[in-house]
Amino acid sequence: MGVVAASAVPRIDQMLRLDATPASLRVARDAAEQAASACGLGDAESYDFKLAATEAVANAIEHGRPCADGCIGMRVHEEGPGYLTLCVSDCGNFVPPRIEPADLPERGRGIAVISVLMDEVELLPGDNGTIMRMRKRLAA
Amino acid sequence: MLGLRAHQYWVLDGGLEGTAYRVSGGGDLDLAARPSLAEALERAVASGAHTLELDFTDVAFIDSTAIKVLVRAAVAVKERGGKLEVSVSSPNVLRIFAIAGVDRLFEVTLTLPTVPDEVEPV
Repeated sequence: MGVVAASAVPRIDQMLRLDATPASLRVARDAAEQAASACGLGDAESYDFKLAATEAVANAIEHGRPCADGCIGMRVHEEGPGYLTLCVSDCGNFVPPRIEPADLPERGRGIAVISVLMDEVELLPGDNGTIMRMRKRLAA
Repeated sequence: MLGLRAHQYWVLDGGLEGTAYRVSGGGDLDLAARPSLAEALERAVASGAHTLELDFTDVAFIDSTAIKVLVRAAVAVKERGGKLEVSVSSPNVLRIFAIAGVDRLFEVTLTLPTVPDEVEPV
């Protein structure tokens, strides 16, 4: 059996397909919290991580569009060097052209909260939808 | 409480007493809890109460979708000179309110659980 440096193998790489319904939020939260704990984040940081996951998935459920399978995608994985990354994807168009002015305050609040909780937040247009990618720095 | 296991949250409408309307909540308050929370707070606002007292000492988690419901109620009672007050017992929940930046609209108080005078030895 070979010995592999801990940083070379992600401790967490999990992909979920979540029904685009509020009941999925607890599933997202539990997965995010477990991943954060597995990567050594403390209680408060794990809590922040699961809050960010809840905000991002709620945002996709309320303002995005589910994919053909009726789901929102979520991936949580350790990314070298030193980041725990959370991606939440839906199959709506890239946000800026689609966002309705009436949506802005609420959607904005969720994203503002996420930006405080995480070290990096990006909203990426994809070929088939929109991905919100968030990164939390892990202790060296 | 009925539905607690299925829903992971509860909202209890305590009704109007004097000039205060009390609503209690527990568990995880997110998008799934929002309809119940919104209904209770709409009744509270419609009652004409001066103070909306939210006992969230059993709340373990709250997100911005639930906080938005509180903001709407707080704005409505403030317009008639009233106020909304929230008590929580989780420092993490208190921190979410701070992050959401709602501290100017209503007061959130941290109430730590009381320790009984006589604690049985374990």
